[in-house]
Amino acid sequence: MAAAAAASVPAIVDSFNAQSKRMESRFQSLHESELRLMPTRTEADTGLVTAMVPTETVILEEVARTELAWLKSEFGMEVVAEGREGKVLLRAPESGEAAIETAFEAARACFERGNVAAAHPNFLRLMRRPQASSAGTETPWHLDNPGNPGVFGADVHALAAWTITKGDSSIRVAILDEGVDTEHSRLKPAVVAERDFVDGNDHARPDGDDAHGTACAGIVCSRDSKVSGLAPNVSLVAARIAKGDGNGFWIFDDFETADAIDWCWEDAGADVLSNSWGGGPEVDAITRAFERARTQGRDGKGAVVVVAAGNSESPVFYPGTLSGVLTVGASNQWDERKTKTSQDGEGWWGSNHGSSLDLVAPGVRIATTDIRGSHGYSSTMFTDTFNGTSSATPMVAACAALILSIRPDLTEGEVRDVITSTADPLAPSGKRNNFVGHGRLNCYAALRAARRR
Amino acid sequence: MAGKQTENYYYANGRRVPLVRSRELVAIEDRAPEACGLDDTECARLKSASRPLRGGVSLIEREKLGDQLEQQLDSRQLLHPVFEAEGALLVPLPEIRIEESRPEQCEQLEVWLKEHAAAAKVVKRRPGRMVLEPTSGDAEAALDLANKVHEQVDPEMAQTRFIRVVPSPDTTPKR
Repeated sequence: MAAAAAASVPAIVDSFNAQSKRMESRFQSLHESELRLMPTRTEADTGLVTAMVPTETVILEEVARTELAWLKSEFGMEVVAEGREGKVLLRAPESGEAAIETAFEAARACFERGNVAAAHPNFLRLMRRPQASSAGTETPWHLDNPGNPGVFGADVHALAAWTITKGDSSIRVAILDEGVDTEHSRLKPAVVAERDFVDGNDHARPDGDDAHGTACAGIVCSRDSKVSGLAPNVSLVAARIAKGDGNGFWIFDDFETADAIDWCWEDAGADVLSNSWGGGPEVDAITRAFERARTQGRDGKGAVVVVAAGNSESPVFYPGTLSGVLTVGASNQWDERKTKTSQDGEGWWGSNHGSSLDLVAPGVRIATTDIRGSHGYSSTMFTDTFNGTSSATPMVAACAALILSIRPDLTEGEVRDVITSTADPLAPSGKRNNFVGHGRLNCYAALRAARRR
Repeated sequence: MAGKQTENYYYANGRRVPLVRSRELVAIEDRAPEACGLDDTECARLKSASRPLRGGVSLIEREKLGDQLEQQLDSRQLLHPVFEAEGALLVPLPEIRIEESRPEQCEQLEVWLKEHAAAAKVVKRRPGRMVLEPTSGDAEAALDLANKVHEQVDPEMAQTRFIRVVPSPDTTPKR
């Protein structure tokens, strides 16, 4: 087999060069319409994709000589290279499109016979070299991480998830926060209900420089083509429950907070409640309101309650300590737990930890909507520096909303189970621990699991 | 108020949550200066010295009041204590919410309310829920009443209304 491989190397190089030329022209013409056929990643500005070009070759793993003989007799497939760890490359006898078709048929037939560890067509990939990040010109890293900086794929797998759904408008996500700029052009179309539990206004827009809730809302459902929410087609409920005091503190009224929680599931019909707030001791009024949301919301199927773990690299804050809610920590571009010493270099905060932590989601320099005017995180309608478990939490809320968009029959407990059981493990053991929970949110895996459930 | 040293706590999830009284801070009702008949200069001074919260109260440093004014305001139930717990400031307000759905406990609760009619009045009722206020209008009395209801009737919930002040998330890079 090794001799065959050696003899075939020049031929493979020739073939590769020829295919590269074909790919180049094809790459130029690939547009979004073809994404569904060969889905990988989009280039926001042009609609071009990373091209996956089929070849006349097939990759097999752990294949016996008898199977190779069968492939030769049935399809004329010849071994052309032997890789490491039992990989073998075979080539179809024909050329051009016919060879590609034969390779696909052979791979499928071999896979269906079940005598090999893996059998699939060999693709060539042509992708753009990653460019340095710049806000507003690329897909935000938390949705699709090209690894610059960080690790390729350390994201929530949004592009793959969107091949399944971008959400259904019948699903409502409530943002309980210091207000949401519901007149923001990228959020306004999603708003279906809003209420101010602080000042009793007929809207839930924030005061002054209170931009936190607007950033959280954008992570769920921003309808911007570049700075998109993870679930851009779902609906938004805004409940203003806190206000900043101008000195770095939030002021809550526990009874109003409890009433806001009840209003969200009972009157506004929220399917998911996203809570990027917390701290201080437990109180029954809030605990019981969350319990009602979980047990009585969605006509008894339960609203999904998602809560931030906190950013002080200390034990999880209340209400993240409650059982039955999804408590969310933060990860970074390297798929690390966010700490004061993690590679991202943001040394002033770290994700909280504890037995109630369920999972983590991206929480460093997240691109999202900002309040209009000059008082927000930036002077534009967007920011690319939103941080914290505050940003990770609405990502998980958005994933829950996407799941409910395709499976509205699931209970809140089932949704939580789908999300935690499909998280990409980050702990060295591969198991749950108190620092990363079950791992980093994988929205695509969650949707696939929900569909199969 | 400065001299009160009793053990302070409330109940959550059936457990006592200890409260530590702030020595420096006190909450003042926004209507206090006018209610005490203070002159315009004094009203303006207190207003500028206080940090507005919610529920019609503001935080103020006790030293900005002085002993005499503090006693005057306290005697009219215009001051509320400020407690520290688990990194938060908690300001109780003179309101108690009770939740109870079990018929037997509901009956016990009604009996308790009759026995304590001089101390607490029901201001709102809904099935399974009610809102009480201490007849004194005092926030600390509300805290005590909620604890008593809890200890003597043990409803599903009996809680004083708190204003909660916590650090807001530091979500942007240091510039």
